[in-house]
Amino acid sequence: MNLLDLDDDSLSCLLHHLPIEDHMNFAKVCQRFHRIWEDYKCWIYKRMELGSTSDKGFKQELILLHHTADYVKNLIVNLNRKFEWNKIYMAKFLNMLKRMHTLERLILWLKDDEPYEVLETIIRTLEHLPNIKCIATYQDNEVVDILYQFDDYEDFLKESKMSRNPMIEPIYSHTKIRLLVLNNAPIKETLADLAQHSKRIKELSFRMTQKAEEYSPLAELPNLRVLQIFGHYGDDCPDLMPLVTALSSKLLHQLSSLTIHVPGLGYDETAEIIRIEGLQRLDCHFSELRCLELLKHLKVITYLFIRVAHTENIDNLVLTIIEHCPTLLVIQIDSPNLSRSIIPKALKVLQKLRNSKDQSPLRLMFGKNPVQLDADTREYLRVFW
Amino acid sequence: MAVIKLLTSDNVIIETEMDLIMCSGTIKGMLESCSGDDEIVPLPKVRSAILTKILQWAQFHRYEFADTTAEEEAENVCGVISPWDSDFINVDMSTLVELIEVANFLNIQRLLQLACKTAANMIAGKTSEDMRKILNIKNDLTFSEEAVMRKESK
Repeated sequence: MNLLDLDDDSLSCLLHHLPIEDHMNFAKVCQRFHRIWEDYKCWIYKRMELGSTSDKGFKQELILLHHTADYVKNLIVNLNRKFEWNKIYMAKFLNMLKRMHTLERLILWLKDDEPYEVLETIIRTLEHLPNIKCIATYQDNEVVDILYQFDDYEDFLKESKMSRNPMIEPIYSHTKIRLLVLNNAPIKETLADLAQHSKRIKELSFRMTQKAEEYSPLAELPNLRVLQIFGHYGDDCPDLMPLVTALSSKLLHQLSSLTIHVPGLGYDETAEIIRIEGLQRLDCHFSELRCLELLKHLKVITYLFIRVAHTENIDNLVLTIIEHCPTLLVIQIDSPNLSRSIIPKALKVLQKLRNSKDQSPLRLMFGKNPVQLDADTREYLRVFW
Repeated sequence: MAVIKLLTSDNVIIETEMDLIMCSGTIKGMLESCSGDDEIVPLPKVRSAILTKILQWAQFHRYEFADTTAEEEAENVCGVISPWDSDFINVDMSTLVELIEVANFLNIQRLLQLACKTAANMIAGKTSEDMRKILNIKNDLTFSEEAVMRKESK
């Protein structure tokens, strides 16, 4: 059989798999290929990625963009290129951007030392597009990344400019993911694209401003180790389950530190969290007392920070955690209801299970003031009350 | 385990386990719409040699068929080909084309994507002339069409 025996759908599928810098050559093979390229533009170029890092490849991509600009809804541009974006390229690119009326989402992968002026010129061009919903800029860096969300072009640019000024912020502070979200558009699709391209991000923190589910693509970040999630207090409890499930199923083997300061972390969510087997550091605000019952399953945990809004005594819950988590070094609880008698009880448990020569003493952080303990107890325990 | 009989274009009846062939959207649809138990499903567009090969692929991946929709599968074009798959798909051009055709007809998205990606890899980075050679396609463009396209790609 010959490829030309296939129907148009199958051939368009082949084209879809071809790197875009080869698409113009595909279109020039024969009449049928050319017609398929024309007919399926609307489908194939809905999402387009200018990713080539070579001068020649990028030139091809720009030529293709010239022919497809009317169809693109999602555009991902890699500005982190090995060659210079000279003025001609830039002018060409901006000219095309100007007429991309169907464009909804743009992701810009920036160089660490990208001048602010380049960024501003691109963003100002987008301002006039009628359908734009979300713009994201980022650097693929392994230092701490923060996901910032803006809903206004001016705020977005102002912050970008400020953090590019080395007098104000050191260079590594550039490594923020900035999202400009217009009319409260969903961000899930943009984050899914970002996660696919951010191969080096190890640490990420963000403040949740949309539904938790919108953030679930972040669980696809291939190298994420440390995640911090903050939320607005006073709002209704968000449904965290979709996000927590994504984290526990996708980051099961790699996440080592998790912070969730968002109301609404209940028993079911905690049951998901404890599935993350390598978790060494957990910092959470729990909404139910019985969440603490589950924490004993964290077998390699070293730092545990707990806040739980409750008035009942939690001595036994805390003792169970101490008993079952052999590597625990610090357990900190915000304004807990505990009785002083927990100290001798904890000591007893530790004397039975731990060897004070091999392991540093466990720190119980229940307040600010150090508690005076005798020398034997200090082998195993340090207490702040 | 439920078994199903498939009649191929070269008149061979191939018996296979029901859940194995459920990766095919087409057959799944056919079975949902017919009630009879012991029916033979005719596949007039599929040769037995190709069907056997496809079942071999389905057997290897049988526990991976996640509940992703066909649309999601089709979107997922940037995946890497696994060593087993790349060995499986290492066939001559004619067989590859037939696999694409049948995967498309049977609506087995993952196999279709695999086969198309393999074909795409063969022509990636090549000039139009080289693509023609590899795919054994004649240049039927007229002189003026070529001139227009040359202009297009500047």
